[in-house]
Parts: sequence; C-alpha cells; structure tokens
Amino acid sequence: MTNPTKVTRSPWMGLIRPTTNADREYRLALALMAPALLAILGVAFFPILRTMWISLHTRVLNEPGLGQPFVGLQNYVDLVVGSDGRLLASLANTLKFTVSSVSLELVLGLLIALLIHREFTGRGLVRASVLVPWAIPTAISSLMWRFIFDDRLGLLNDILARIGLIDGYQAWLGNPKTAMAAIVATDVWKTTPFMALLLLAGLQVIPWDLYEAARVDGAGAWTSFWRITLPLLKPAMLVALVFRTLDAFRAFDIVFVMTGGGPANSTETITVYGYKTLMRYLDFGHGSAIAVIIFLCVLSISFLYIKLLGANLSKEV
Amino acid sequence: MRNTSARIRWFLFYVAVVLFVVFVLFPFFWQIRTSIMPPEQINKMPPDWLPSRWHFGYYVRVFTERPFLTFLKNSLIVASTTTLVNVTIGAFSAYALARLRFPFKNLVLSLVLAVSMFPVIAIVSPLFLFMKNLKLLNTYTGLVLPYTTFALPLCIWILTAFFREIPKELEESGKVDGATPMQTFTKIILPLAAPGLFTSAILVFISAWNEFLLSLTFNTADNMRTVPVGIALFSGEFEFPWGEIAAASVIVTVPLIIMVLAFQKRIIAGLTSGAVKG
Amino acid sequence: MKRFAAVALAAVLVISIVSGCGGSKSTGSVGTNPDKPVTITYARGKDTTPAHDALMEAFQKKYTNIKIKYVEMPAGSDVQHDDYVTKLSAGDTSVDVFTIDIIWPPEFGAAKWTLPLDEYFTKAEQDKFLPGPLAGNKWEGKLYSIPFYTDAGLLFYRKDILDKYGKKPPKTWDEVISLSKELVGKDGIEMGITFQGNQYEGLVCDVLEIMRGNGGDVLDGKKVVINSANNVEAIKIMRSLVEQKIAPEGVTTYKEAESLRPFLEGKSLFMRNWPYAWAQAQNSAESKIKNKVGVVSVPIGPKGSKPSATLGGWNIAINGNIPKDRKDAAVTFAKWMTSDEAEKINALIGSRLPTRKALYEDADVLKANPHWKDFYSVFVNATPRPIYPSYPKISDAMQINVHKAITGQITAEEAVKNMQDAIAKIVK
Repeated sequence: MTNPTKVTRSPWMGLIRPTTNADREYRLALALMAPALLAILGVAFFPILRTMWISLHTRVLNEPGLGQPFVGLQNYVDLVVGSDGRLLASLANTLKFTVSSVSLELVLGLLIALLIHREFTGRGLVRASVLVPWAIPTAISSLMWRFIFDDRLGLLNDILARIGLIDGYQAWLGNPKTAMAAIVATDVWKTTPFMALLLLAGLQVIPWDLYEAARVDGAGAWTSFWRITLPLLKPAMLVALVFRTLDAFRAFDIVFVMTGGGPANSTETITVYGYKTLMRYLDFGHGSAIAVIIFLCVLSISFLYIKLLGANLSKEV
Repeated sequence: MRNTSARIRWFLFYVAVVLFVVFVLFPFFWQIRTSIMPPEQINKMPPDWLPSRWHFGYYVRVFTERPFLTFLKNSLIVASTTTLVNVTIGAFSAYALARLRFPFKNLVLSLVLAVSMFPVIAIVSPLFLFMKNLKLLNTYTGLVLPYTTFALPLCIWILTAFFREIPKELEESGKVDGATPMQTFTKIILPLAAPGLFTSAILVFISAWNEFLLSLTFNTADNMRTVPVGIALFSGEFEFPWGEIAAASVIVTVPLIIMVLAFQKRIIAGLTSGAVKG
Repeated sequence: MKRFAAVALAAVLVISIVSGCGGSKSTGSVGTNPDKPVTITYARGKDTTPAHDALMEAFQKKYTNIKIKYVEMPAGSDVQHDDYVTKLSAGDTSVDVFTIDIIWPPEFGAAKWTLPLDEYFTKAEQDKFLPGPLAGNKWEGKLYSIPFYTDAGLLFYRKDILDKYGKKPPKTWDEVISLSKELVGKDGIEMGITFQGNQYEGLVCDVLEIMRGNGGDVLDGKKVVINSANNVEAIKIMRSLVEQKIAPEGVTTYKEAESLRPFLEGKSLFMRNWPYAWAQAQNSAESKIKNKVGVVSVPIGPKGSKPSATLGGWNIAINGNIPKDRKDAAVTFAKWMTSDEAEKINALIGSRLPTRKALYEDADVLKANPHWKDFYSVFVNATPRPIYPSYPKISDAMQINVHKAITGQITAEEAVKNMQDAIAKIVK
C-alpha cells in the first residue's frame, strides 16, 4: 500500500465511500469476485463447517442411544492413536499412491507437452487423442483397466505371455505387492493428459523470441530448456502440481472400483477408509474427523507447494 | 550429412509419437472392439483381439432399454452451463486477483482452494438438505451450482496464472488508446489468455460431464438423470453387461473427442506480438 | 355455532377412527383400497427381469387408489445403501417404500429409519415366511422389514463331466479338492472351482459357508465365538483352494461376475455362486454350458454335519417418518408385494426365489423352476449373516483378515484371533 492518506482510515470506509484509487480498485475487485465468492461460500462453506462441527461430537447413526455428546478432539485421538494404526496405514498408502502418480505424471506430462508443442503433421489429432483417457468417466476407465489386469481375460497377461515376459498368468490386482502399482499405472494413464494439457498451455505463452535469442547466443537445447522453459513454466507447473496432488490425495473411485481397498487391505487409502467409516459403519463422528484430516493434509501440501515453487500467484506484476 | 541425421531424428520422433498414441488410445480401441463383439465371443479366454463378426445389438440396446438420449441431453446442458458460468465468473475473479491491489489476496486464494479440497462424500448429506430446502432437487440448477463451486478454484487458479503473464504494457497501451477497462478486458486480455480460457473450459466440462455422486443423489427422476448414472444403471446386481457398458462409453466419449478436436486450435491461439510459433 | 362445531368435531373424530380401523391394522390379510387416491414412492434396485413391471401392473389393477411412483436405483447394493444413508440421515421423506438388502435391517432399524412392522404382521402371518430371511429382518425382537425374495449360496458343477467319469457330486470340501485334482485338464477344464475371493462382502458370504459347514460360527446371540479350531480349519480350507491352485490365481480378485465367466466358458469344474447363475448358464447367449449344469448345496468340512448356505435376498421396508395416509398405503403395498400372489408372479416371471414357504409346493412355480424342489431344504436351512446393527464393521474385520489369510499374508490362526479381538470390541 503506497497511499499515505489511507493511514488513518479503515479499508471498510474506503469501500463505502471510495475516494482514492486504491479504494476504487478494492471496490472493483470485490465486485468482480463477488459471484465466485458467493457460489463457493454459499454452497460449500456451511456444509463444510457443519462437518467440522460434527467431527467434534460422537455420532453413530445406528446407535442413537449414544446421543450426540460433544467430545472435543477425542475422535481425532481415537483415529491417530487407536484404530489399530489403520488411519496411519491408510495415510501411508495414500502418500505412496500420491507421490508415485504425481511424479510420474509430471515427468510424462512435461515430455508429452514438449512433444506436441512443436509443429508436425497430425498434431491436431495427437492433441485430441491425448485427452481421451481424461474424457472417459473414471468409474468406466477403472473398470476397463480392472479388466485389463484380470488374470484370465486380461489383456496385460495375454500380451506379456505372448511376448514371453511371464510364464504364468499373474493376478496383478490380487497380489499385495503389485496391486498398488497397477492402480498407479491406471491413474498415470488417465491423468497424464491433464498435466500435459496444463503444461502445454503454459508452454504456449513463452515467447518464441527468447529461444531465438538464446540460439543466437549459442545455447543448446538442454540449456534453453533449463534456463528458459522451466523457470517460465513455473506458474503452470504450480497450478498443475497443486491440483494434481490434491486430486491424487483424494482419489477414491479408482481405488474403490479396482480393488475396494484390498488385497489384504494393502491399497486402502485414507479416502476409502473415510468412506467406509461414514457410509458403512455409519460413524459420522469419526468419519467427519477423517474428512477434516484429509482437508488439513491437503491444505498443508498446497502451502508447501506455494512456498517451494515461490511463485506468488497474487503478487502484482 | 545434416539431412540424414535430421531425417533420422524426425523418424524417431514419429515412432515415439505413434507409440505414444497407441498407448494412450489402446484401452479406448479395446472398448470399441468390445462394443461390437458378438455375445458368444465376448468372454472368450484368452480373449480374441478382433470380433469374428460385427454385432451392433449393444448400441441398439443402449438407446432402447433406457432413455439414453435424455441422459445425454441432460449431461450436455449441465456440463455446458457449468462451463460457461465457471469460465465467466472465474475470469472476473482471476482478473481481480492478478491485477488489482487489495488486502487478503492470499487468504482469498487459499479459501477458494480449500473449498475444493474437502472430500465431497462427507458433505453430500448437508448438501442434499440444502438443495432440498431450495427446491432444487431434480433440476439443472441443482447440479450446476455445486459443480461450479467445486470447479471454480481450478478455473480461478489457471486464469490467475495466465493473466499474470500478460504484460501490463498491453493494458496501458489500451488505456492510452482510449479504451474503457471493459474493452481492454475483452479485446486485449481475453484473447491473449485464450489458451488458459479454453484449457479451463475443457477441464471443467469434462469434470462436470463425469460427475457421479451428486448427480445420483440429487437427480433421481428418470428424465433428469445424467450419463454417468445412466451407465451405472446398466449393471445388474451381480452382472456387468460389458457389451452395453462398452457401447455406452464409446457413445459418451466420441462427442468429447469431437469437442476437443474443435477446440484444440484455440488452445494454441498464439499471442500476436512476440508470438509463440505454433 | 359452538354446538355445531362440537358436533362436527365429534363426527370427524368418529369417522377418522372408523376409517383408521379399516385401513391400517389389518390382521392377516392384505390391506384394503383407500377411499382417496394416495401416491407413494417406491424405490428399488433395477430389476433385470420383467417381473417388476408385471408386479406393478397387478398391484395397480387391484388397488386403484394407490398410485405408485417408481424410482429406479442402480442395481448395486452399496450404491443403494449409501444413497439411503445420505437421505434417511437427513430425515428425507421423498421415498415411502424401498427394498433393502438382507444385511441392512438391524442397521436401519437401530437407526430408527424404517417402520417396525410387528403390528401389521401377526405371528401366524410371520410363520408363513422362511425362517432364515425372517430372522435377518429382525433386531431385538422387532420386525423392521419383510422378506421379498431370497437368495442362498449354491455349488454349481458340470454335470456332463461328472457323469462322464462316473462321479457323484461332492458333499465335502475334501471331495471337491480330490475331484478337481483328478479332472482338471480333461475336456477343456482348466480349473477346479471359482468363488468370490475378493476383499468385499461376497467373501464373507463364502467364508461363512465354509465355517458354518465345519461346525463353527461368528456370533452366538451377542457372544463372539469366532475363535474356534473349527473356524481355523475352515480358513485353512479356503486358503488351500488358492494355494493348491484348485482355484485360479486371480480368485482373490473375483466377485460374482468374474467367478461366473470361466464357468460359463466351460473352463471350471465347480463354482460357488448365487441362484441367478443358473439362469445365466441355461439362457444367456454367452453360455457354452447349456444343459450341462447341476446344482447342489455348498460342501461341508470334516467337522461339519450339515451344509449352511449364506442368505442373500431383498426385503421391503417402509420409511418411518412419512405421514399417516402414505404410511397406510405403504403398508398395504408391502403386504401385497410379499403375499403368495405377488411372490408367485416374481417367481414365474423373474425367477426370484420366494420367501413364503407355501410357494415351494406350488405346482406352477415348480413347473417353471423344477430345480427349486431340491433347493427347498437348502433355503429352509440357509442362515443369515451375523445379525447386529454394526454388522458392516464385523464384515469389514472379517473381509480384511480372511483376505490376508487366503493371500498368504497371515496364518489362519492369526486371522481368527484378529477377528475375535476386533469383533469383541464391536459387539457389546
């Protein structure tokens, strides 16, 4: 704030009776953001607050005799310390899934974006085909891949056996050692397009003359990439990473449809555990607490990203 | 010498592209193949790669057993409306966040993001009550509203990032030329942010098109159901009619591909000055 | 004026009592057609057979003043369960009557979502139903829903192959294993048995059959009795099916559809599945084994004396929060849908197993489904899963531990001990 005359006036006064440019900007900003804020706060805010409130109570729907007493943070303590380590195990599974899929998707997404950024015949078709995995509804593509991993009818076993890489049909989703990898593979197939699209859009706005100038100065492809592309891609990468990590952390359909949390509960992510607690055990107290834990984890991760990538989106240019 | 090495590089490049496209599209081709596979061949172990004859019965059943055209219409209306609403109010908010000065910006961005981070399964019940009280069950608005809520954050973040990249000088020059802020916004800023706009549009459209849980809970009337719920209705208690499901998913994906093909040029709409070589 | 009002009030009271008597508290027979038109909303999972339409038509003809608004849900049990939980926990009254899976009545009843039906079905009336399904609909003595159609696990086998080699259908698990070892590799048979081994509710159904068929059980009233040598042996039997490759390696990922497929393709000698598989084997275009299938009860273990099929099936429940006129109409609907007349339509047109004993001796029903005559004993003795409001928690504990055991992650002894500990915490 560089306007010295505002030192003694509160910003709210500036809204009601704008006198300075800063006030006008503030007013305009609020007007522009009002519809969005209304949609978000109006619809989601109160349900979210309500869930947080419920998480501080005992509430088991099929045991109404327990009442709904206020228990403070007891639900959270139960989950973290009790529950036979199930919460922590599910968090570990979630992290395994998130880290593997997001890093693979970032690298592959970048490669693909670079690939289709150049000009070549058939580029339009390639671009359109890239979106097909993302376009198919998750429940269906999870079913499709479950079929592909099937031990008797699955394509994967068929192809690998024909090439000779395996000698017996494997039950990919039935083996605790390979099940998570199979789910990650499916997610990578499905979501890399999302990353690629975001990164491609980011690549599009990097001015070409920067590369020209670099070439004239004698820089090679790798140096251009490292010194020009990556830094200028940071904002797009930040958006892509934040949203992709959020989604991976909260992935539900893909795990539930493919393995239901098995085999031997080895793929139970925190969302699957939360779903079971809410909808199977009808334990809305602990279930809401799990939802809040997911929310807090995801919030922390995004703060981490914003700090790490240093791209302060809101800083004025 | 230079020509040969360049030729080899291009050849390898094309090989990579082809392999990549095959990997990406293969499951989709498998769905197409399954959708025209005659019933006696569909469960064959090990599976046949190509059908012995083309069987279109599944496609017929998709449209005759259920009002699938109605489902498609509903999904189209809901998804398009959500996309339009999102991109519009998202663009306004993003502009404010990228250009104007006001306090609590980071708080706003975080709040906006936070809302989209909350697991929907935990808030379905209160959301249901909310829609019920507003008499928005079994309507289009009843779905567009929550879809917008959950898709706005992505839209706002993408567009904020894009608006930030646009040099301020362009707006200044607009002002100098006598354009109003609105004109600067629509004639200069928006075209430059086109890649971001169309990217957000496609992503929002697809997520609204594929949403299942809220649609199942809010729109229970048969004539108001959307496509993902419609597809779930094909299955029996224990049976998965693979033929119909494959046919339905092909029907559902093809318009999306066409839309993307139509839009993908806009995604790369370049800058005018200092242009990206497309 | 005052006097007129008092008389009018008295008249209204009398009329309402009289009409109330007539409509709601029917003793044994089905209800009567109300005087004014009433619309009730009926929700059920999609019916893959034409029976639903036939039932609706028959009902409307008889009860012209009760209009049915039908809401079709996806057929999957879980999806329906979650939707009902979401709506009923919000006090929703948009659905008046709905069908519920056999494992939900204690849950929904304890949550006070469904109307207790004891005053509408006398003991004499209740006795006309199969005991197993009826028991599954009760909790703490109250009836929370009424059985509509039932399901019980069966062992399917390739009759043509067993006949060819002069073998009799197996009665014990040992026989299943030895027959498999002998006949796999002949006549296109690649595997001995398929069953539901995925980590989900179906696994509990299957493992309960082996446990109870070996003299073990999970709950005895409210006492947890799962920790027994019989149960350890039962789990070892299931594990041996996987380990000795009697079942295909992917069986630990199979649900009903996956276990049916190899059998329909003629590759499996045995299959444990629900009765729907019979129609699939005989009539579906994908079946390669038409008229080659036989059915028998699920096998018993060395310590068992009689087979114990696990119950499936769906039941009719009434929303507890709806206003009186809809409640009365809903009760009439529920009574009719579970009457001999309606269940017969369901049996003839939909091949759904009736829950009323009399129909298993009905000539028309047996003509349409001759194999049901032999099943009567199976269905009379079929047992529901452990009856407790928190059954889903019990099921979860069993699913996880049994799956760990059959994938070789833990031993059968450890699995049983874990289940005992977990379930003891749940059942108080």
